[in-house]
Amino acid sequence: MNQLEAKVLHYRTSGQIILCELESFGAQVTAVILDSPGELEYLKEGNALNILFKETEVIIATGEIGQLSLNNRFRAKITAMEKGDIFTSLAIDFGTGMTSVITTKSAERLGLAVGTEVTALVKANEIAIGRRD
Amino acid sequence: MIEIDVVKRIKTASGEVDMHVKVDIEKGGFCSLFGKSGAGKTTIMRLLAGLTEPDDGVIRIDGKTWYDKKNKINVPVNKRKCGFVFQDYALFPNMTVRRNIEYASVNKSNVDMLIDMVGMHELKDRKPANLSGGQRQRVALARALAAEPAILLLDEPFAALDADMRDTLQNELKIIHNKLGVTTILVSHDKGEVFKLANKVYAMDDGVITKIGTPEEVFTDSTISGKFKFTGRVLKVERADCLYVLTLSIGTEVGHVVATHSEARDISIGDRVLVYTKAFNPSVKKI
Repeated sequence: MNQLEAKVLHYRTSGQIILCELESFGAQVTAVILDSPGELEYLKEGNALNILFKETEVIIATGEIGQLSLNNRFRAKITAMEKGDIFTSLAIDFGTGMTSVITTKSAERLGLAVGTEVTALVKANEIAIGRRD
Repeated sequence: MIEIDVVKRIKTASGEVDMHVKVDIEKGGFCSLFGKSGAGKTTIMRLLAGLTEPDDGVIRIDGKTWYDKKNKINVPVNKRKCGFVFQDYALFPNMTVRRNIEYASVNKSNVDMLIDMVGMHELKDRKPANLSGGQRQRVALARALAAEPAILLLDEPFAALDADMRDTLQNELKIIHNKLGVTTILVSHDKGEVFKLANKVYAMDDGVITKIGTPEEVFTDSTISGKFKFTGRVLKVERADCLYVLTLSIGTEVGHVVATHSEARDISIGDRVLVYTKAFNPSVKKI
């Protein structure tokens, strides 16, 4: 699980669904969660919290990105790669580290290597939030 | 019903503290005192058994007062109906399994039933020196139950056994508790054990009860948002490509989860884990 520090900019709710606008190491992050704001004592404007998302849900793009629905874009650089037959695990850095697991086929198609500049993309509904201890 | 409301000055890692213990356990319940060593768990056991006297307070078991400072009541150890099982099985070495149990029994006609219940029928004529650690703990449990205690006190009873034997004896203890319904207090620092056996947990730290609740309430991580969280137990950890596949038992079901190296690194078989996903991910289908 990727776990990054983020700051709450603001949030709004519709029924049980909460849309949070956050900032993490200079990147704008949107997270949509299903919870009760009253139970999340750490969800307050200006508060620091953790954002969490699974490595296998991090999409990697190179070059110009056309029109995409995805809000969460992290401009990053590959710092390490572990290649398996089917999957490749990428350590990337955009001011802090995170991991992306994509297919080896895709990694080869994109010509990824240590040092390649990429954009990591994560859907808003894949991001959970958690208290920072 | 067990009511403990006592104060005792104890020495902990951070100096002397007045341990104030307020514990209520329903009759037939299984509760656990959980915490690091030195947290005061064993002191509570000793207070209950009458081996240590509180500085103040009251202990009442099923309506009978065992201790009451104000009214100067202090029932002696041998009159308190406590069954004990410790880590080091204190069996009589010169007696057979059967004699060990019989010696403690208040009703001789129950001895064979207890021997069968702990699965020691075939070995009932052996002496403790010819038994394995797990077998000795079975005898210790049967002996404690033979005294028909009002309360069964288990102080890290399986800590000295290997993981498989511990697992087996935990399952057997659960069955025996369900059958006999003896009010039980288990001292343990093993979360998995507490999860499996107890329906109420008192978490302790430095002589203070810090949390009370079901194992789920006390141990489940509430620091992550989300409405799709379960606790599971790790059955298997397998490498698959550059990832890992964890086999988990969740409730009565078995499931698989893909984990990365960093997640799998500190997970071993038998660990309790929090399994969560975003509420957006699971799909449902009517069955």
